[in-house]
Amino acid sequence: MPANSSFAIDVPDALLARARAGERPAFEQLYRWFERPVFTLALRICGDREEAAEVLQDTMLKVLNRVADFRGCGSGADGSPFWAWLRQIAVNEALMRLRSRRAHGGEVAIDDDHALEDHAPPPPAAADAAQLQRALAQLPAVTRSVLWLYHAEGYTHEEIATLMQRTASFSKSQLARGSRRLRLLLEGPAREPSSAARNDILAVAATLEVRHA
Amino acid sequence: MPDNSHSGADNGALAAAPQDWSAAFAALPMETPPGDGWTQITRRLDAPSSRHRSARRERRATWLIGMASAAVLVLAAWSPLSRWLQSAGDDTPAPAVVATTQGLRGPAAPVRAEPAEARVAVATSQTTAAPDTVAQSTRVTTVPSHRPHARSARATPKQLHAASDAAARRLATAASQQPAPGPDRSVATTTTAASDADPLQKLKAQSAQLEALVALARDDRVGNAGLELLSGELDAGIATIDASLSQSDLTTTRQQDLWRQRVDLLQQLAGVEATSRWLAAHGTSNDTALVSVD
Repeated sequence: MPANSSFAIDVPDALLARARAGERPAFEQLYRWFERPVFTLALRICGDREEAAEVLQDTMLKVLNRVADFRGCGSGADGSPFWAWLRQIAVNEALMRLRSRRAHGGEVAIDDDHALEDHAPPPPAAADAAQLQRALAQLPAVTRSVLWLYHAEGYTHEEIATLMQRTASFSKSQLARGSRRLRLLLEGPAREPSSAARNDILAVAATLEVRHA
Repeated sequence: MPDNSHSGADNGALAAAPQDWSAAFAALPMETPPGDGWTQITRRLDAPSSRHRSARRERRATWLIGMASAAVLVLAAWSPLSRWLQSAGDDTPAPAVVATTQGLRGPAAPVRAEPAEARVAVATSQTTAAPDTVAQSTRVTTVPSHRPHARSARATPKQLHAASDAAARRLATAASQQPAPGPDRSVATTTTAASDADPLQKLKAQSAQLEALVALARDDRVGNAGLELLSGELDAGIATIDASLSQSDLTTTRQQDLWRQRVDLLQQLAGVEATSRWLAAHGTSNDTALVSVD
């Protein structure tokens, strides 16, 4: 697991104990800490803010109802940390919604072409958050989910395959194709300037020619 | 809250190219959910407790309705069963009798007494009753002469409870009596057969059983106007019959007719009281069943 998962928040054991005892303020504290990571994950998977908000609600309700059954500790010193348990619930909720709306038809065509993995670094445009978000939004939901679970949350192909009830090969193919398409989406505008920009360039060139004349 | 915001989140401008996709994704700002999700969560957290309360209420109501239904079924089955048991061994069907009873506001509706059916097969079970049982039954039939007069003298629930307990004890005593082995059996059989052969004794025993049944079913704490009126009419009819029975110069035939009318009225009264209890337990009334006549 990468350390940069937005879920990686160590929860104090005292807070967890209070939540297990059913204290509402402790519940609220946990909710405030994890609402944005859960909502972000749900939005990346579902691609819809309203649906992501519903995933957030359902996830938090499940967490609060089952927190007494959680056997780990807040920081994960003695095993699975609380945030990983919560994230697992969130991922399951989001993927369940994805399956329920039968969005699998939008998958990128699958061949056994994951040998063509994209190991090149992302294009510079990937540093632009808005542009990267727009490019992600154009991917099919399942492909985007695989990309996000693998790169942002650090799941392995086997884990993704289990979560999505598919094979590891499916996860690798989705990752390879998704990465390539994402790169194309990010590099496309840079390689091919828009017609308006081209017209501007031509106009500037014409002005310079007139001045030289 | 721990500061886990991403370094690139606030940097909207193009920065240096990320090293890999993980770094690029990690640099994306976290999304903020719309509205106040916690308020909705608390609302949904509170909802199950109210649902549980309503479910508990429903379960209690269902249990009450079930108990009331069972009681009504027992009451409904008890009266024909007692008649059937009482008529066992009587091969000669009694003629249908149509009589008119006097109500509070004039003559009540004619009461039809069905002819008793012959139940030869049960005669054997009837003969198992011991002589004490017969004596007890005879003693019970003295109730009409001591019956409180009409509705005004209706017993309190406590008294009714005591009366019903006494009736239940009497019935239990009768049921617990086993036929004595040896020579006593023939004596018991002879006595019981004599009782079965006497229709007047049979009617008196039946009347006593119905009295106990009415005492069990009656509850003055609940009821509605329609059923109370009907119950009062029946009580008045029974009181009129009791007054007639108290006369000394009655022929045996006349006595039988009066006792038969009394049994019929008591059967109707038991049905009315059972219906009243059922409606009260169900939380409804039959007021809507009343029809206004212009």
